[in-house]
Amino acid sequence: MLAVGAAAASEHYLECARGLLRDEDAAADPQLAFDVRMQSALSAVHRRALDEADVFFDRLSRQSLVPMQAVQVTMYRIGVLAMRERIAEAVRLGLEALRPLGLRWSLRPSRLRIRLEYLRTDWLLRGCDASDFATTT
Amino acid sequence: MLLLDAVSGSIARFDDRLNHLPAIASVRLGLRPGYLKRGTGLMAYAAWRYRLLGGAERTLRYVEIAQQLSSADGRFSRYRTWFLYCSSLRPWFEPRREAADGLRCVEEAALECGDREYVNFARSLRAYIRAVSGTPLSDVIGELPEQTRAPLGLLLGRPDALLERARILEQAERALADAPQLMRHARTLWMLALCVLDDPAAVLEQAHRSGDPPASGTLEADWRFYRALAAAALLRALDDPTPPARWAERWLHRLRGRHGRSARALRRQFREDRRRLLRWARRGSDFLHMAQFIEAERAWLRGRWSSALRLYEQTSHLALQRGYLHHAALAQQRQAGLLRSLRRETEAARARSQSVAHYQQWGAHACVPPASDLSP
Repeated sequence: MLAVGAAAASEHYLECARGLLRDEDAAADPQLAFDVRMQSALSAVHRRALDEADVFFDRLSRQSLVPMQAVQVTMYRIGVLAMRERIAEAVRLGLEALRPLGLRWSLRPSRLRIRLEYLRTDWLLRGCDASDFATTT
Repeated sequence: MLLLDAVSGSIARFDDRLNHLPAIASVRLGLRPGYLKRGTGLMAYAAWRYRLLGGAERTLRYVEIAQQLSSADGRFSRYRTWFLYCSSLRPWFEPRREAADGLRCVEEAALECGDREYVNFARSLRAYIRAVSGTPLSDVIGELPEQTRAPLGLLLGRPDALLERARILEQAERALADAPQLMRHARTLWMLALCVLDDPAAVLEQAHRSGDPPASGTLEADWRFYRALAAAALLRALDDPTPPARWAERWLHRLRGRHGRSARALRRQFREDRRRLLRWARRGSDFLHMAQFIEAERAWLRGRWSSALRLYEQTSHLALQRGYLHHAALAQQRQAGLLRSLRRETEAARARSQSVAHYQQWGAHACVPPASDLSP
């Protein structure tokens, strides 16, 4: 229902689902608990109830998540912050999330840093052609 | 990669330097096993890299690889890669108006896929490139997004419309406040218009307000070009001991008060812009006359009059050859100013009338004074 844009109607069913979801259910089936909370957050985003969405995202962040789920939550949080025009916070959150993946950039990188990053990437790309890219897949 | 895509939109609105991150990171991740290999990432990397570091040979090699990768991509990714190529790479190496015509194909492909976002990107970027590369004003003004039409509209109008410039500028500022994504492009067009109207202080004000130059469509070259021209005019006025030059001091005082700008900072800006334009002029035929124009300004600043006059002459010829009517007119306008300061009034009047003729051809009626003002 959420997928076809009926956010208000979907919220009605999601509310019932949240009422039925007990803590022991969340422990027994974390994926189900994640889905319910994530869909609730998305429904709030669609309804432009951004404060409500934040509450769901906070609750999700406290839950133990697998990496792909954590990325999904961060992506939507960035989107919500951008919708609120809190761009600096969105960027900060994105950079923090990228840090464990090996992309350690500051909010205001220096020119030297950027140049060095290009040189390093050029070094990695030396002698590469399209077939080299294909074989690494 | 998903996270990178999610944050790149916010980064684009946040900081110009940080904008290099998604381009670099997508190539780095693309080289790791298991990640998706898309031409778009490498094409964006090539575009950002060339803007900052130059190095045409290497950039063109990356473009070639990106094109090969994109041929295996899906339809969406293919026209997005082509968009990056036509908007941010091809215009550095080929005549810009021809490069901009390539964006028509992107527009059609995006329209077929129902991708309204890219239809608008391609359409507006093509209009910006055409607007800064000397296309007659009346042809291009209708193609521009509505919020960015004011500066060219001002030039298209009659000279008495200039009296309302402050009001038009104020209205445009209000319109831009609602469309921050157009801000840098609109300010580049304002810099063009104000440079043509010989108001260097206002050009620098626009450059300062935009913060960083526009990232796409090689508009950075124009941004730097007009900023350098304005800085040169202001520095020259500061060196002028005659009382009318007091306006320059007043303006510099205002700028210093607001933005901490000094003559030394202006010189530094001028040097930086000159260096970039000289680099781009090595491979881009459209930037050669711009670099030469800046060299002429530099020669005038250093008191090498004959060299400056020769360079102005060459600039206007070259600009006309490339179809940049407004740059030819601007060079002749500056040449007339130099000749007047050397008390070579007859030659100055000839240069001025040539300049007016080119402005007229371009469609800038606001720059065409009544016939009585042109007679010697």
